[in-house]
Amino acid sequence: MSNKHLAKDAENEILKNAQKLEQKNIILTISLLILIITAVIYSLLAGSTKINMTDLMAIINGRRGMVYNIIWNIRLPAVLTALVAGVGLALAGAVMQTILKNPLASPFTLGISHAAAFGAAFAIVVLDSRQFLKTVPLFSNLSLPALTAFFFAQLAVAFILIISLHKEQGTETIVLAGIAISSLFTAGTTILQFLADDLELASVVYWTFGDPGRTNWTQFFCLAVVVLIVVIYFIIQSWNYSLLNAGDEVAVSLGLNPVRMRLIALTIVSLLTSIIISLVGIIGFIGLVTPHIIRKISPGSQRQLFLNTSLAGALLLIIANNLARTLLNPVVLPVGVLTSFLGAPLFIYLIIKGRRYW
Amino acid sequence: MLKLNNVNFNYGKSEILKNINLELSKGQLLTLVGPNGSGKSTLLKCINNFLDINSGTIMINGKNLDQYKRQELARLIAYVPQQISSPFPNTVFDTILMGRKVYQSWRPSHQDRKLTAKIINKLGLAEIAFTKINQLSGGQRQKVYLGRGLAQQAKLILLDEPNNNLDLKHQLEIFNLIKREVNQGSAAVIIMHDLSLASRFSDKIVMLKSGQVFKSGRQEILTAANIYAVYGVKVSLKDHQGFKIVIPEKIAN
Repeated sequence: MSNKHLAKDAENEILKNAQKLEQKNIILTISLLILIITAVIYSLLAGSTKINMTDLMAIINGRRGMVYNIIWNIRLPAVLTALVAGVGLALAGAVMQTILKNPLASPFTLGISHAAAFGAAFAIVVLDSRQFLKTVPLFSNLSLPALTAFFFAQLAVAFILIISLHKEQGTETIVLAGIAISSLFTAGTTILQFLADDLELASVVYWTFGDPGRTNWTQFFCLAVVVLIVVIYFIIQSWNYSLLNAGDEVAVSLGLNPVRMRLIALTIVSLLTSIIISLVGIIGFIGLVTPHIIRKISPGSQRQLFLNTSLAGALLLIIANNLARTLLNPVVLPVGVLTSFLGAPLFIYLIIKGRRYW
Repeated sequence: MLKLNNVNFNYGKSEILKNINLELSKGQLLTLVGPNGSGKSTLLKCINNFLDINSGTIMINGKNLDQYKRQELARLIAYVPQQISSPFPNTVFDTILMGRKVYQSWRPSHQDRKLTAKIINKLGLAEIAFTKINQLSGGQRQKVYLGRGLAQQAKLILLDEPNNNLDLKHQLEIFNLIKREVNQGSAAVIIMHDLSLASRFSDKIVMLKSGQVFKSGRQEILTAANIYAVYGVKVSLKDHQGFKIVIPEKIAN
């Protein structure tokens, strides 16, 4: 065979292998989607009131009653909120790790979650929540802790963005500044808890638990729209973001503006995270661990990473939410605590066993 | 192809590049030599438009660098860095495919993949096409970076010490590949410390000292006196098949 033919064969082999890898990732995407649908259905059936498939089908066919109320007003908004919050938090983690080129980056690491927790505690302990909600009807759908949590999360975001605008500061500085912000707001929350009375203290602790069941349909739809827009944006931009991995000088020579890209991405994911946290409370480890799990299971392109991480985040949070509701039935465990319980050992396992893929 | 007129660049108050003038035509390989800190990498970053110069002009094909859109410039200039470590290394295939970004907006086409496979095969990387680049040797990695530059199909290739930490075989492989591209009508600017290799492969050599062009020309400028003036090192020179072999002898007092 001539050299030309041999070269053609070798090129075709490379293309075939590239296609195989892509197919593997598509299979993962489809599997995750099937698992999510299964987990959603299971979530609707499981809980302190047992509901079976026949009841569910009857409700879909128009039957109304107590079971309908449980599903429509309690379980469905909770499981769908868990789904979109999981997507948002996991994607935020994947984006932050990509743009900061740091495997430890996540909404948690940048201090956004701690700032939100402080905001909620501030509303509960310092401000009179009920009085405020009476006077501002516009916010009657939201609780005051959610609003102040969002406000303080934005303060943390603004601080991070100011640092990232400094040309001399590297991406490590952003992560280090995030750790400092976390400590600062944790100290603030501790002081507020110290000053709080028993009822306020219980409320602060309850808020920081994280619970997808807190949202109503309006809040869920707002969250879903925001998450959907952000997911579409990052899927479209994924190839650009993958180039940041090659270093800023190469990214520039490939026609990109890495500083602007980083700023845009940080702004979007920080806003997304603060919206999620202010509505559902603090849910740790989803943003940190999920991208690593996907990188380990099926390394692929940046687009596949963003997409599969989002889906895996949704799946993990739905499962965690289910476990939280059913593990010690009828006691409902805080989902945020459960994600940390599951996430921390998993993360330790990944850093010890799976570092080769980093 | 490339023309620099009185280029100056400052970091804060310190002058890094002073009145740099140089010219490079299609089909030429220019080597930047000089001691550490003489401004070679900074000059390369200015040509790559990564750093904004303070005064002077950098022209590509008779047009000022500022007048190009980012994407246009990306199709003209490819930058091959020194080894970069990343916590999330890509595969060889994905790294080389990155070079096609300059022609596509949001995802690579089948043609881009075909060209990537062709480059991988041409560089002899077929066996490791889907290996992560952090698992490769220095020489293989350098080839991958060069491959990304080739995928860009740019007319000017900038290379920052491409032979750094490479064994003799890989050094020769890399320079032969670059030379082949240049012979096919591209131009290349290379930062290099090995003066013997510079003599062998360069069409033009620019010696930088303290941010200024000390000498520029063909390999004739590689004299013991010039090398002493730039590096502070006494050398002996030997001619071999028309090229110069530079042997360092003694550091100046």
